[in-house]
Amino acid sequence: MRLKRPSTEAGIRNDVRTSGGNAVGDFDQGRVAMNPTQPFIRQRLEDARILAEILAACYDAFDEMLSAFDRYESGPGPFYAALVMAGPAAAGGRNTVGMAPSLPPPDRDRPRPPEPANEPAAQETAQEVADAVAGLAALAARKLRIAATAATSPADHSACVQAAQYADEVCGFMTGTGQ
Amino acid sequence: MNPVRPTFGEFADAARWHLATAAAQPPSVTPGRDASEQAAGLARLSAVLMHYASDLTRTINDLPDEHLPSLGPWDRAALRAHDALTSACRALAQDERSARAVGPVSSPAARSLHSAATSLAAGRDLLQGHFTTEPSGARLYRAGWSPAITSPSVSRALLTEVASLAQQAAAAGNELASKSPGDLRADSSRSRLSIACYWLNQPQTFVSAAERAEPGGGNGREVLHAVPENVMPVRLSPESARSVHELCAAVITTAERARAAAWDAATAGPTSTAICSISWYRIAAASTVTSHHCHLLHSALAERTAAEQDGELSDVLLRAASQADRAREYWLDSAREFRDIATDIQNYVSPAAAEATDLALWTGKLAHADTDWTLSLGPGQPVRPAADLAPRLADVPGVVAAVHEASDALGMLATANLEQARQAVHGRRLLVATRSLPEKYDIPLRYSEPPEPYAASLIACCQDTAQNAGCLADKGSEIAARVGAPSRTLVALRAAAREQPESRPPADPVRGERTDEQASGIGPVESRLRSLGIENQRHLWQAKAIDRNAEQLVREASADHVRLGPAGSVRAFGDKHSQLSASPVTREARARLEQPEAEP
Repeated sequence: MRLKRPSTEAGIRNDVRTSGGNAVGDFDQGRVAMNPTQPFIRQRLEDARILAEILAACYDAFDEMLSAFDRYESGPGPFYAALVMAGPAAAGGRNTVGMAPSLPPPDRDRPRPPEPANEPAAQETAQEVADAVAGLAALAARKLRIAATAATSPADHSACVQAAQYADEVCGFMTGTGQ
Repeated sequence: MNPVRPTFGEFADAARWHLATAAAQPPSVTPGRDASEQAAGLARLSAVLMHYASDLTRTINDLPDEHLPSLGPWDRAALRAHDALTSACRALAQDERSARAVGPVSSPAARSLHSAATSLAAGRDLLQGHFTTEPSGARLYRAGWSPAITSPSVSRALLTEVASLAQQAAAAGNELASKSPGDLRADSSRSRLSIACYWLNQPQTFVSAAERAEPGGGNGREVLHAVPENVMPVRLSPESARSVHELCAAVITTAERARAAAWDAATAGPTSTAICSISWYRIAAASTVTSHHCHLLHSALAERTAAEQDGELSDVLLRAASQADRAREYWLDSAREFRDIATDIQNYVSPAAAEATDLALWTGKLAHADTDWTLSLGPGQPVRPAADLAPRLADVPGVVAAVHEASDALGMLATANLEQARQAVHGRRLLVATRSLPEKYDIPLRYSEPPEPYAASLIACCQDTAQNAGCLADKGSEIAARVGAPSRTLVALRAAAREQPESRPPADPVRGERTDEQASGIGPVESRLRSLGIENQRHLWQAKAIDRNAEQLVREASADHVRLGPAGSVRAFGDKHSQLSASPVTREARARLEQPEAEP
């Protein structure tokens, strides 16, 4: 019997999941609930200008990619190897950004993404999940490379470069150019 | 594709062939010189066989004399065989010395005897390549085959093989001695040959007695003959295999590489730089995908065998497919656990993670219709039709072997993740991003040690995954044995390895806690010296050696305890020579003769 750990955002996500579907060939049937926070995170990343903002936005972007994978895996869609394989790269990117000295502490007072309304969430297919994640990863990679040139500390520079590589890896899996 | 690696069985068979060739040689035309050369060849062969026997008795030899009578029949047979082979060497010692001094060998029979000795020496090197010896003398496992090689059933099989080869060598020696027309030099050599042949015949007698006293050796011979050279197969490029047959071979090669990498990963200590949460995550993600491919392949094989009216096998395959699906869910659960934690080392892709990814790729190419399939393709790719996977029923075992090898590798990768996670927990190397914790955790640092339930949840998840991956490997074994797949050797290998007691120190089942000394690799004596502030490296090294020897003693004693039972260690003891030794050779003489054999 598994021990339950304290409730975290990730933990809550795990708790509500169901066992992943594994049907083969029903690509279009497996639609998952779209995350309403994704446009908000993307906009925040696009708006980020200074190093600290970019790092904070990228951290959330990688986290959102992991959430997107998790939502898909918990849904009824067919098994999608690339989404599973891209998870470690997204986690690596998030952890690497998390180690950057210039990442600001979490701002508990900053504006929150909109809470999902009670009406049924919009649905997205595997291809839409992949496209959304690829777009986010490509944007994160571009922003991180810009941040790397602006970073004055070697630790920040190295974190930005490595996290950009992780973002590239995610992008590769999502666009079919990865392994 | 990879060249086939040599196995012990090939060297043993080659030695038998050379011995048969030696015995079949026509009578000599230069009797004096030929008899001397043949005696020298037999001397070298006897020396190699004696070294095999030394390997089998290395743990017994160090026992105090009064403990020897409590040995089981097979250990006694090994000791007696060792004594007999040592006596054979002594009888021919003069010839071996002369052979080293003299140059090329002209007698065809002698050349065959030398070739047999060379084959057997290579076979012994192959077996020894699975172990490493520490400066303290402790022999440590180096690969997954190591526990099987030292298991009781394989040790018995090796002793039986040695005794049989010695008997064949004796027959060849007697044959040669009877053919040589006499002259003074030949008479002297013949006399020594006859004495040596007498001793070479003895091990078979001891083995037969042991077999009568304690029959049954399981699949020891099968495992022994299948032991390969301990070399990592070459990594394959994705374009190197297209046909189903080539893809199956690629899966098997990659599974073997994954097993070797997993073995290394599982032995990492708590301070190892190889411990990295992203590598665990990569392994879990890739293994999720591989498990899914095993599900597809088992399902396709079930369909194929159902079409051949083999409903029973089809049902077994369907059950295996459903176990693969269950394993996939556990792997995915594991991946989710690894996603939310970090370790002090990031950005490291372990060899096990790289091999796990390759395994996912190759099983995917086999499971899908498109041989250009890659891990980054979208879902809904057409699965390889059952008729394409195994056009004839005779093709089924080859595919079963590939799936079995992949499943077995998944089991080892799961164990490697579990072991490393335990080490990381104990080494306090797990981290969690404080921003992902609930607000009640007000921690000023960016990363902190995870709250207690995180670690417990992680270990529990790894254990569940390892257990389920093991179940999938067991299903693979069941099917491989049923259809006679080439991978059935793995079944025997795992059975032999299970005969060994746990090779690692016992750990708490949930937290994997070990004592601080065990965890840091520092034994009690070394720890005591360090606590006294002693920094002299020589003293610390000696302390380490004592600790390792003590640990080895405990392992071997527990192995003997398991093998002999509690009664074995408290029995009354008599004179070991009166009970054990059919040979007049003393241990001192044996020790002198056990010097490493010089290669010609």
